[in-house]
Amino acid sequence: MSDGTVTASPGRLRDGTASSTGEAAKPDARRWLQLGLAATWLLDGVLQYQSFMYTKGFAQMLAGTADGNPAAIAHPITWAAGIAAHHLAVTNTAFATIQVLLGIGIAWRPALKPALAASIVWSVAVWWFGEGLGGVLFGGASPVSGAPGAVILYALLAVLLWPVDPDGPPAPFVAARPVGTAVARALWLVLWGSLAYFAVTAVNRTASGLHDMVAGMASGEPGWLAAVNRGTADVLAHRGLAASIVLAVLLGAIAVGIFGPRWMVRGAVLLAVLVSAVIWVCGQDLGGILAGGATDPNSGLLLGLVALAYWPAGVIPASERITS
Amino acid sequence: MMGPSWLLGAFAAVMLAVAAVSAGRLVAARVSGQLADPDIDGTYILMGIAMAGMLTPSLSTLPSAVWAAVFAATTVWFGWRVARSARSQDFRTMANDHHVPHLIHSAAMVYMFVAVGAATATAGPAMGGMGGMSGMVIRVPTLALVFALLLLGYAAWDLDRLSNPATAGWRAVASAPAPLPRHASTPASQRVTVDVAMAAAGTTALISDHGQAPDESLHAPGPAGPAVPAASADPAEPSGPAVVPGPGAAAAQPVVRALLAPGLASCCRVAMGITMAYMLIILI
Repeated sequence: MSDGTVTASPGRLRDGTASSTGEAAKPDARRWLQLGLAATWLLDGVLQYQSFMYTKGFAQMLAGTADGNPAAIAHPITWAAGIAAHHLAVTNTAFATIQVLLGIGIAWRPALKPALAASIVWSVAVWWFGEGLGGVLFGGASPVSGAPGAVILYALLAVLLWPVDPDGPPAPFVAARPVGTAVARALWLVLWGSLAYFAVTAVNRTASGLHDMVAGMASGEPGWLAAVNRGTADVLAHRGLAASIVLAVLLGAIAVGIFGPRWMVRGAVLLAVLVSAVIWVCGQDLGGILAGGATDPNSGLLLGLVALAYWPAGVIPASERITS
Repeated sequence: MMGPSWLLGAFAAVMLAVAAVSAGRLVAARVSGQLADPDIDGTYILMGIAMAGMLTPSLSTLPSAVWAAVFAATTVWFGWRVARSARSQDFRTMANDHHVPHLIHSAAMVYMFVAVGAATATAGPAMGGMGGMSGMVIRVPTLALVFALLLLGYAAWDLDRLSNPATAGWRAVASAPAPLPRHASTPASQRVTVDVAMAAAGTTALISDHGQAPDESLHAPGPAGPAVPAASADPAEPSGPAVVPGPGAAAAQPVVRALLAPGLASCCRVAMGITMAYMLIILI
């Protein structure tokens, strides 16, 4: 095992938790990412307890995600929104409490696996009933506004951070430990490749599409963030097509960069973190939390966490490389 | 309304429970002679009462300005303790220092009371607490988000350390024998009081039998705090008046043990962190 390779080390149990030795008790890279995911779930739960979520506005927001979706997807959303509207206090408190418990469960080592499994189920349910599958089925998705839906990234992270280490060669990065290098790379390609595609869909490549999207976020934000919005919107004004193409090229480069040699993988991950941060701050206004009424921190933060799970901490075996 | 009154009341109840547990820890520590980190438990009592008052106006005790001053003082105190440990430790060790979250908690309390005080002053004196802050605009809301993220991050980290098999903060201490007094460091004037109180708690029998702390795990660094110097029984000093344990002695031991468990302190800190993050988010 080369120095720094991400793998189960002596004294560490293969489920990612620690053995009885003191050294093994220190969280490794995967555990830190799991704790990041736990903290994000806690934030989700706390946001869900906001007063806005106890008003009809929340139920209307849920029902609004049905718009544009196929009937088979939209009808269950409308049905679920109706239930939420009639039992707002109960349903919203349950939603918020479940999310807090997911965060606590992931942070609490004995409950890690059940909590991660539950988070996958919950994320998929919320992605459908709460986000309308992120708008990916009707062309309304944009990487700037949160495609493919922030909550589905929780499920992806739960899979990539699942605490097992199958037998075999050392994994080149954390995300490859539970699912293997090939599957992890395929998931990366699908995620970032789909974001590249969404960047150039019809709604995003119009002259004012991105400008309007960013400028519309400024309302209710504190001064500095509103100024960032206005500055970004000014840059994007009348340059929607060019900006979409540039964004798609960047996202495409990130998508294929994971298959390159180690330096290219690092570059792709760094670029992914940078693009995620820019999108999160300039395009998503930190999830809109500072404007009130946000249900989650949006996709930028989660995309950054996903990217960090691919940071090549060790040497990528030659047999694992596609190109080198 | 910043939130449903019953929800605010529920969080207020949790904070009062944290304050009660912290008070119990102080008493138990006094009884057992383990006066470790009284500043933390004392601060948590104040925070629990203050936060309950913010969440539910009927539980309000002091004006926001007074609370802000109190927590400014605790912020300075914990800042000094963190700075002192930072002199001899690297960044990672310093971040692991158990005073860092208390520093953040105290600073967040100052922020909340200043923010609520300013917003209340703008909207009118009739509105008190978070229950009546509808439409108010607080200053520097970004700071509220930063504090909330820090608090939630620390809560997750606390839970990880609490469930860590290597430290086993809760289980190691919960299964340990009852704590013992530190006679060597206890002034003579207090010793009789401590011993009598310990008799009531049923711990005096252990002192008579062993004369020193039987289990170092009671003093081991757990997730809630640093190592506490173990009892150092000085054979040259009298061990105080012999007291026969009372009939409720055996029953009281587990209570003292449970109250002094580092895991309980961590649970209080997690509850405090999540509640404080909630309050910060609804302030925005």
